[in-house]
Amino acid sequence: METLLDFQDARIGYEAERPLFPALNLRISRGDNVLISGSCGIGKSAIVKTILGLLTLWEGEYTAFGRDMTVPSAPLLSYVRKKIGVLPDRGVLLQHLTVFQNIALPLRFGHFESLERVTALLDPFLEEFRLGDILNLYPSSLNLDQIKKVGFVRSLINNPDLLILDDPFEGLDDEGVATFWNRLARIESEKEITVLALTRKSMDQQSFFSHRYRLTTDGVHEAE
Amino acid sequence: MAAGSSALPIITIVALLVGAGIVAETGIELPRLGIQNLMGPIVLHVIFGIVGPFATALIVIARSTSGLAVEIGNMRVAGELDTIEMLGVNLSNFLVTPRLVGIVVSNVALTFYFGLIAMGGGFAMALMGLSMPIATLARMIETSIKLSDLVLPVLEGLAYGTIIASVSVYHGLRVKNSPVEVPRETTLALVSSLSLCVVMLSIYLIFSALA
Repeated sequence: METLLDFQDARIGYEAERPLFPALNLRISRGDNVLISGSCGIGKSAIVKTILGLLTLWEGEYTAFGRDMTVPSAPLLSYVRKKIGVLPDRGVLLQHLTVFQNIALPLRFGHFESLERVTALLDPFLEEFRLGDILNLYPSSLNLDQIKKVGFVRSLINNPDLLILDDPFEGLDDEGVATFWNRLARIESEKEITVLALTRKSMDQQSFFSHRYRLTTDGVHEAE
Repeated sequence: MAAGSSALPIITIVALLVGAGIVAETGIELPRLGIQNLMGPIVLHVIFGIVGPFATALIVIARSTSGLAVEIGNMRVAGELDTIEMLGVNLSNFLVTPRLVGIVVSNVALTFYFGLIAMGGGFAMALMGLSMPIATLARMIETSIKLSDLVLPVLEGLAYGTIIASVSVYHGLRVKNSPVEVPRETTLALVSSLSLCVVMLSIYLIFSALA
């Protein structure tokens, strides 16, 4: 099975002298949905940022989609980021853009798709995530549940190979959680997108994930 | 561009007053020195070559430097800059370049606008304050105007705009994660922009005097 991400004895963190883990070993293969759980501040978001090349790999090896990401070039970063959809912790929408513009952002400015194409790709999500009435609103008008939904749709709209969900259910109401799981179930049945979820709380429907890990200060360990 | 258009009212008021002041000063002092025939080129040079571009830059610094540094700094604190990059969007193409180009183009346009409005203020002063026929001042300016009088403000506007935009964006991007860094970097952006524009003006004045 194709390996999407592979960390070997990786030292990652915000500063070289203070790595978050002495050695991170993690492999994610296509089709294997992975759950990493860990407490607040343990370094889940740092792993996401390292995967996407925002944090430096201080030591060890990291490959993404078969390419060495130890010292990634700008074109390589762009290539890898376009293959990954990400829902950041707290959703994070751009405040000066409307909901539609936020969702269209990776397609318009990353993949250079036309507005018509963006509209066509967005259409299936409108009813499912109840976005129809809020497309022209700015993020300041939205609650966290809506922000998370918009962020989720933004991460999915370019049909990524790997979907990274950083604390996806934090701030969602029960209906929002159900909507997310419905979409994740469809993703699992279609087998096109691999999911990496990072969470601070226990998660229902753990059977969705092929591999479950616990993140501690020592690194990732198989969860029971 | 919106920053440029919203600066029009304050630019208009300042330009009218500055133009009127320059024409009043030259209209009174030059005849005393017996060189009133130099009024046209002096007014042109001072308004379009020196005061116009610099006063415009000061107004743009006051209005746009803080706005741009705060906007980008807050985006950093809120995680928006990281998100833009994580989504595979080029930060420079999406965020930085449009703002740089917007401020530079706005500054050039506002510099010219300042010059034209200042000339209007000057004509009003000549007519009402100095009892000088507008046609006389217009003829003085018409006979002394050169291509360089129009090219220099464009070049100065480009230089000042580039300084202001680059410094603002640089300080906005220097914000790391803490909200308290935003006002600190904003202040630094204002001071740095102002200092560099003064240095730029000094260099221009020295070289234009030598040329």
